[in-house]
Amino acid sequence: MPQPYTPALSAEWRRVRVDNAMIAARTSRVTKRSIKADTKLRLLKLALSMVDLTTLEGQDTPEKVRALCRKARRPMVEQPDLPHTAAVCVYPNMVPVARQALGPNSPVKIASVATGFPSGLIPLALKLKEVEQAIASGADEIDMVIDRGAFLAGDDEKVYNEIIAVKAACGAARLKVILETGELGTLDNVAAASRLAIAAGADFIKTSTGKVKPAATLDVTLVMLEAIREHYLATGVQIGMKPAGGIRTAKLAIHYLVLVAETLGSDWLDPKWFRFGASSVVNDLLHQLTRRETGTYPSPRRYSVD
Amino acid sequence: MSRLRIQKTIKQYIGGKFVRSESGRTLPATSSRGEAMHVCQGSRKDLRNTVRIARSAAGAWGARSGFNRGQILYRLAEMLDDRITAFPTSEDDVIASIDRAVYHAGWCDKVSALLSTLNPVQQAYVNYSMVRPLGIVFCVPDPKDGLLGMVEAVCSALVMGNSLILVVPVERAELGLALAEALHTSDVPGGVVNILTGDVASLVAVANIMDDLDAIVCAAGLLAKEEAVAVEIQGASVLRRIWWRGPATKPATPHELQKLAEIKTVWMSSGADITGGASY
Repeated sequence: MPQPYTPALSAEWRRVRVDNAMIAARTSRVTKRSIKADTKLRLLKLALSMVDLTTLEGQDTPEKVRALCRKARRPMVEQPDLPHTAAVCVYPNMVPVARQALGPNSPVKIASVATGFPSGLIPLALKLKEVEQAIASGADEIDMVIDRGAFLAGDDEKVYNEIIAVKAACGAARLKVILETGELGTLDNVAAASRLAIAAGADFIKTSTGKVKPAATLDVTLVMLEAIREHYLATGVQIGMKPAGGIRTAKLAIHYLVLVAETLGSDWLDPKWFRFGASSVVNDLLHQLTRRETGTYPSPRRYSVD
Repeated sequence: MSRLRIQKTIKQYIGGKFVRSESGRTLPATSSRGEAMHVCQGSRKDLRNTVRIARSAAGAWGARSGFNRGQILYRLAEMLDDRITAFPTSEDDVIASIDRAVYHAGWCDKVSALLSTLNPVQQAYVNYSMVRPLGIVFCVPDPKDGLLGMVEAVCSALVMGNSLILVVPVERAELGLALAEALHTSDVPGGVVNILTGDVASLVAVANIMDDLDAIVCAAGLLAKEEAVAVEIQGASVLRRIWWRGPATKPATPHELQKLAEIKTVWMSSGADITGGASY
């Protein structure tokens, strides 16, 4: 159970100072790792199995969500032995559609954004209602957003208590807490918000909604991974990580995996502990996998437009 | 007092930028001034990246009006004319190239009227066909055709609204770069014309496995027999258009240009049979 909020807790989270130059140096090293062909093949498949295949648009239709579910279950018809994606990620209204498309005991999880996504600026009672309804319609995971306005105003108590309340409403569903790092301004804030979310009971911390630029970057991901590492070393409890938004290429996805492996170790190289919030990266992963399979460079036109 | 002239770096032209090969590799060659120089060796990854860039540039270029494309090709002719002495080739070659650019500039807004048709059909439909860009064209002109060969390859692909990748062998890299400089100042959008330099046969071998190339236009007889067979076979597997071109002294006719276009046919109900006449 999370501790009740005290100003001392807040001071502890906000105490952290991030060395931006060192973070940049470490992430730039990650992008230069040489990865051999066999490992790359394994990482491409692993990355595919870690994707939360996402559609969060005002123009989402039931049929689009059904198509997304089909793609999540079998990313490429020609290669049925490829892994399915970890989950689909949709708006709460689309959860029943996804549940119907995937069936009751699907290996592909259903993640629903909630709590007034993407801004998080609705009353707490409505946030909890939204979470309950998403779970009742069949969501396995909840992606909540924090109230960035409150965080930036220094009202850590509000942010903290909201996460605790949402976590309680989630029950058995895993809770991912979106920090929206693009709106937090500094890496120090990212570090503080990560610690706050973890202390409040987040199962996953997630970078972004995908609606704000910059979305996920290697730098903010590393800062968040360090918070996870610190928590693990102190308590032995694993917390998951989900960079989301802006990850469009297989190459970048592999950079993320290298960053995770080098920061947290290979225990985190599992869809249970690491996810990509993305959609277009799947096509590039399939592109690279086909290229390895056939030796040719397939056209982007061979893949479905999500 | 003799002046020490500075050496020019012979780069490739990709996505509207003058860049070195991603591989960092170069091939030795001799410049037009007789000095030793190094030319970028275009790699598999260069071609892969260029295909991606050319694809993203193709849409907007193909959507431009023929008239606008014609203006831009005419602008290319102006730029060539300004630089007659800048090209490491004969003046006749440059003048022939200028004339060729003007020739193709003229076709831009006329070729679709010439190749589009109103087709006679039995039922009450208006049925017409029009030309649409093919997409990305991979061009391998004969080095013996000099600048004219390159200009002919570039312009014939541009007339039909395609983007293209021009492959230039090491011994013509300076000439290719000079053409790129003219193109760069001609309002041709970045990524529409891309120039790779290096070993032609190995770049063609990579092009063969690039599914996203819509056509390969190569000078007839330039490749060895087995290389040409590979182009045909691999092209057939992805329904790629292959065109073995004759000498560049002869410009592409509109009917030949049609090889670099798709035909789109539209059926529209004319309503005549339903109403028994044109009552609406």
